[in-house]
Amino acid sequence: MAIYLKDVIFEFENHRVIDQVDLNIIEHRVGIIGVNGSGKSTLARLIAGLISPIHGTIKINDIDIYKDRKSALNTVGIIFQNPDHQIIFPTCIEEISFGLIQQGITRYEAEKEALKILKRFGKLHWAEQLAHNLSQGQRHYLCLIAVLAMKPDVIVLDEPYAGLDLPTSLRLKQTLEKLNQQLVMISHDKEILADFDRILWIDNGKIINDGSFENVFPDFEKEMRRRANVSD
Amino acid sequence: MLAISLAGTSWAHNSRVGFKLAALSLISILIFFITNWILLLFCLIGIVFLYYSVSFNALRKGMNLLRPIVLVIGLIWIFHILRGEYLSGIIICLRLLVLVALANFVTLTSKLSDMMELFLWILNPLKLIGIKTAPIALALGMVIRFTPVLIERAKQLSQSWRARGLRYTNWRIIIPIFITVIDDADRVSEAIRARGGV
Repeated sequence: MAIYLKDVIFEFENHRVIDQVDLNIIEHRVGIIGVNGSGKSTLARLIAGLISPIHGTIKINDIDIYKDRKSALNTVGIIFQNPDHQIIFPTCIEEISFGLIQQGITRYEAEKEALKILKRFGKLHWAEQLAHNLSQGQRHYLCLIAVLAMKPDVIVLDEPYAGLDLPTSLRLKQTLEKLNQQLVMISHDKEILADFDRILWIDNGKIINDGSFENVFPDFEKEMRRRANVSD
Repeated sequence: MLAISLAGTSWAHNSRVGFKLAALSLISILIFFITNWILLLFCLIGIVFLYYSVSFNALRKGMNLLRPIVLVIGLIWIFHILRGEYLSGIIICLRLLVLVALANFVTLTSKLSDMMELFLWILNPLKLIGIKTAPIALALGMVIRFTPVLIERAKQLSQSWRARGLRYTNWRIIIPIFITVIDDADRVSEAIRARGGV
């Protein structure tokens, strides 16, 4: 499993959000850190193939995930920070089936598959429930289940722990730990990132530090403290 | 995340969407032949029982959904009274109530994906002239799905307005609502793209 970025540039309204990023990610658990507006979410969206770079190449397992959406669906999934931006359909079973149908199976099979995965996560009773009646944490979980159902090789998560209460985030952590998929996660959480294999520190659209948690995070923290004490 | 939808597996949920919509269309035509207000009142009572046959919760939700149009119906009625047309006013208002309540009933008890499938089927002839129908069906589905979200957005924004403003919200809130809605639409289109829609 490899995520490959070569000379990637992304601009938004003449502002360079991602600036010549080269990456080759083969590690199992990869964290992306950086301040607000540094380009983390844009990088996540590029890796998930939601937006196209204005220059450069992005490939996952040799698949052009922006152009070849059909293969991309089996390759990469993304979980947004806010589940309300992700959930498209009213009932849970429709929400989970949607991606499966897009992958090319019939609706009947998709619903059968959706029930199977709900059962696996002990949430069979959610099937006919309305997603908006679930709690924030449960909706997050639903988004994860909907993506897992599609069996991608890579899952990109954009601050999945933001806004979750303690039990919910612990449960999410346990679930994520068990996954075989390669995970690329935007997070600020020191405890969660501590177990990760590689940390990418992004600032002003450039990767300014890249390495193990022990090598990157202390410097990041020091820099954040420094910035907090400098007045604008 | 809101939607005019009711979770459940009642008889109404299990009936085919095509059947429900066909019945609704038929009743919409037939109701214009009923000119007796007492008969229309009975229709309305019948609808109460229809909702109740699903669940008490359905009845409550159905009543809530009618709230916004009661105002409009009231206005129509007042207009008729001013013109001295008491009886025809009552008849028109009752017809409207019956139809909206029935239409809500169909939406409440139908799955969005079933509706979209039906749209696809209805749009089938367009395929003959080379038009892709899947995006149209998805767009129609999204209209059903996101109308209540728009209303909720408007409520939220007018609350933020009131939290820091002295007066009730006025027309100026329309532009911020518009902007947040476009923003939401961007997010949803990303979500659809992420899972391969269109």
